Amino acid sequence: MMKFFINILIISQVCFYSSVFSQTSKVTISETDSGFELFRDNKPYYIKGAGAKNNFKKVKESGGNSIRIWSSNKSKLLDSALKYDLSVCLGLWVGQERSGFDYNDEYKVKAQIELLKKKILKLKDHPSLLIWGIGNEVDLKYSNFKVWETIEEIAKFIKKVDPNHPTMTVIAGLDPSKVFMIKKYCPSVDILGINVYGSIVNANLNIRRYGWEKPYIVTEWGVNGPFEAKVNSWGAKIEPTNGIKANQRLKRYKNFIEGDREKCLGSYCFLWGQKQESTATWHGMYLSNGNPTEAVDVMEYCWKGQWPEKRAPSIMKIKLNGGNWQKNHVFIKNEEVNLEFIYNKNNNDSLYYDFQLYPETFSTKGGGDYQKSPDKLEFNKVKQLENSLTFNVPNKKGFYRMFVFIKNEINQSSVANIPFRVEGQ
Amino acid sequence: MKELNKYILVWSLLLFFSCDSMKTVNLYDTVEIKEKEDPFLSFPFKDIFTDSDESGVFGMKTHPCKEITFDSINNFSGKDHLHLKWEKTKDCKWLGLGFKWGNFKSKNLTPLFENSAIQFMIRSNSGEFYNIPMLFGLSDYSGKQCFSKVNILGMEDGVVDQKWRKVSLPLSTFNYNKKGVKISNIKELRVQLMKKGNFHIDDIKLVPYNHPYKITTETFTKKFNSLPINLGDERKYWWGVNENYSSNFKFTTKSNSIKSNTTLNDDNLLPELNVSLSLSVNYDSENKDKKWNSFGFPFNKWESADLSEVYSTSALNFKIIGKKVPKIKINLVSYLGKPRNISILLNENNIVQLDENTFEIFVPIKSFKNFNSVNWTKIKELRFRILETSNFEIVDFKLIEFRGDPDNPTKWFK
Repeated sequence: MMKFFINILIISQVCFYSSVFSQTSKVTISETDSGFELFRDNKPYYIKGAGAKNNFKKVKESGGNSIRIWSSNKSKLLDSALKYDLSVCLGLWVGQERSGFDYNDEYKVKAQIELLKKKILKLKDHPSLLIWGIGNEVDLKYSNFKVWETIEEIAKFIKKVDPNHPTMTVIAGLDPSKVFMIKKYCPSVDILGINVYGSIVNANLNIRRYGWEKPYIVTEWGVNGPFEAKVNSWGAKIEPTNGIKANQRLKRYKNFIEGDREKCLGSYCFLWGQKQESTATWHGMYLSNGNPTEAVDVMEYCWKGQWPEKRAPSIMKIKLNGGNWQKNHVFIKNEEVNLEFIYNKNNNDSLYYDFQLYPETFSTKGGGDYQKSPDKLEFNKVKQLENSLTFNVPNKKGFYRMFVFIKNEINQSSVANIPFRVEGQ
Repeated sequence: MKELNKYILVWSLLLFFSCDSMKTVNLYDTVEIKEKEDPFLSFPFKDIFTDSDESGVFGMKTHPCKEITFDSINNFSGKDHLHLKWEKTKDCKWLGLGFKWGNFKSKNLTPLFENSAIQFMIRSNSGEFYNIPMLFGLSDYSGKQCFSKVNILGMEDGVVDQKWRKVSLPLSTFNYNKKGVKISNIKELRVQLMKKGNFHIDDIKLVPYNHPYKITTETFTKKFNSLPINLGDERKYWWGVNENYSSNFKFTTKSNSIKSNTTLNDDNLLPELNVSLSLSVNYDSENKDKKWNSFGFPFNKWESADLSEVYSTSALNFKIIGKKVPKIKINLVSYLGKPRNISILLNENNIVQLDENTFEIFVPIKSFKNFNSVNWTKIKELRFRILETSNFEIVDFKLIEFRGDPDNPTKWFK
């Protein structure tokens, strides 16, 4: 009898889940006098999204409703998103000329299209699917415009087999030539996705100046990228502190994303996770140990309209021997120097400090291409106080970067770093 | 008489059959044309792997990240096949195996390159795959390697699953030229294992193979060899002019036959009517749309313009109709290279006053800072930014021949 009931329970659960999973959302775009609006199952759907491959639960808790992934290779992420009731802007990875893809090679072009068609057919009915993101930054350092024919062929195929989800292609920053090419070659693309960092300040002006007439989504945004950063005298990129970056994120969301409800259907902040891009902390809203930074708090404020009950500390300034992080800091081997960091406690009673030294990477890669993380270096701590650390620089000539991490008892963190050079003697 | 006849007949027959001069003789010696030998048929190393008895495999040593074995269950052919299991982690940077392929004898693949493929049978332990996470490398005797990957067009039914599936990798997809590999002196075939996999492989061989796809040579570039070059004469290529959002910039037309300025709505009318495009600028730096202060157009319909032959002896030339020439910044942008964007601020040396309200502007390309570092084969566009409140018309954009002083291009006019 018990076995019978267990079987009934299993069958009913399977029926329940299969009925839920079989429900594809119908996503449409409507244009009214006040502008464009996205609808999901006939309800207005403003995208409060994050570029993310993990920490989905936190996206939901923070008030987000969507995630963006860059490729369909990890389709299990759609299931994870569904678990947290998040929609997915699903990327279809299209080969980039800068990574060696040759759009004059018809064999490879055809193969790429056929492969993506298979993936589209496989995933088109997934209930968490919101939008197809065809290609990411295929326009970065490109000169073969045939790539737009591939984008169109895929978009056209989607229109044929999947009437439920709009198509989008994502470009690296706005440019009149790209807008022209997409309008000319890709009529089946419904939405323009723009990855904009420093240039977000002019995005809603440029989208109009360059003549894009359909809606757009800010598919990547955040702090100014390493490619936009100032460098010091030896070429090390100057990274703002987490506190400065958090303020910048907040301002950008309020002014430039929420500020254009006429054409902008929403956004995906970058990066709800961690990656090495010039440094380990530049774009990531999480640290490599999985701790969230104050950028996550900022997104909760942007999405929910209120700060989380418990907030991360916030490092505003970092200095070496009294000179701020934008200056050239040059020391002799093994010199004892003083690192100072100024931060807001944000009502945290107990804070924990960590200091990590790395060699400078000098990466010149762009467009989010893979960069190798350097190995941490040992160093000698002389004296640590609540807002300073005295330490010895390495006994070897070279270029270095010192990081300071502060976290509260629930691991909400803030980070800042400062580059320095060690010379002889 | 009968005897004589017989005699004549016999001699005639003898003469007929013995005389070479009766055969057709060519005026000149001819070379006998043999049917062209099929290079594939004569290639002696068609088999790369059949089984552990017949073929040499290296890189079989078991490793924490990979396990390569000869498996004798469910072979495609021969007594066994290769079973490859691997997972790439930080501890194992390179995973792979190789085939001695004819016991490392030198192989000339040149005549086979366009019409042959490496073909093998593959099955997975479980699941369906549209990608095979393996990189195939041909290495020559100098140790150089070129690579290729199997793509979906090379997969039977476009999938790898538990059935034995035929997979083809055209030799033409190996980037030997780029990698400097001597394709006439190939030593071995290597397979680099990527990410993670569990596959069975059998019957690797070279087969004749053709596909209909070409490698084209389009560059989307127009080369300009002479001057002048008319610029900005089709409004559909302009940006920055959108009266729905700002009335700072408006198109008008100008022509000898049309005296008054007329707004044209049809983009296609312009070239046929031989009217040149003119932009009316009414800009107020205090206004709410003060940021709407730029416009631009491409050199070559938003494809690349190769100006490498002409840039050093050219100047940008246009006219301004108004009370004065306002502060204008001009940017010249390339698709590739560093810098991609060079600029100049107009100064009085660029300006010649033609009459009370008309000014002609000359901006030598050599006067742009860093002009020599620009990639002149991939030029994209010209951008104009109005930097002060002004009301004028700007018209007749051209790149003209100019060989004067780049810093003072108008001194001869003055």
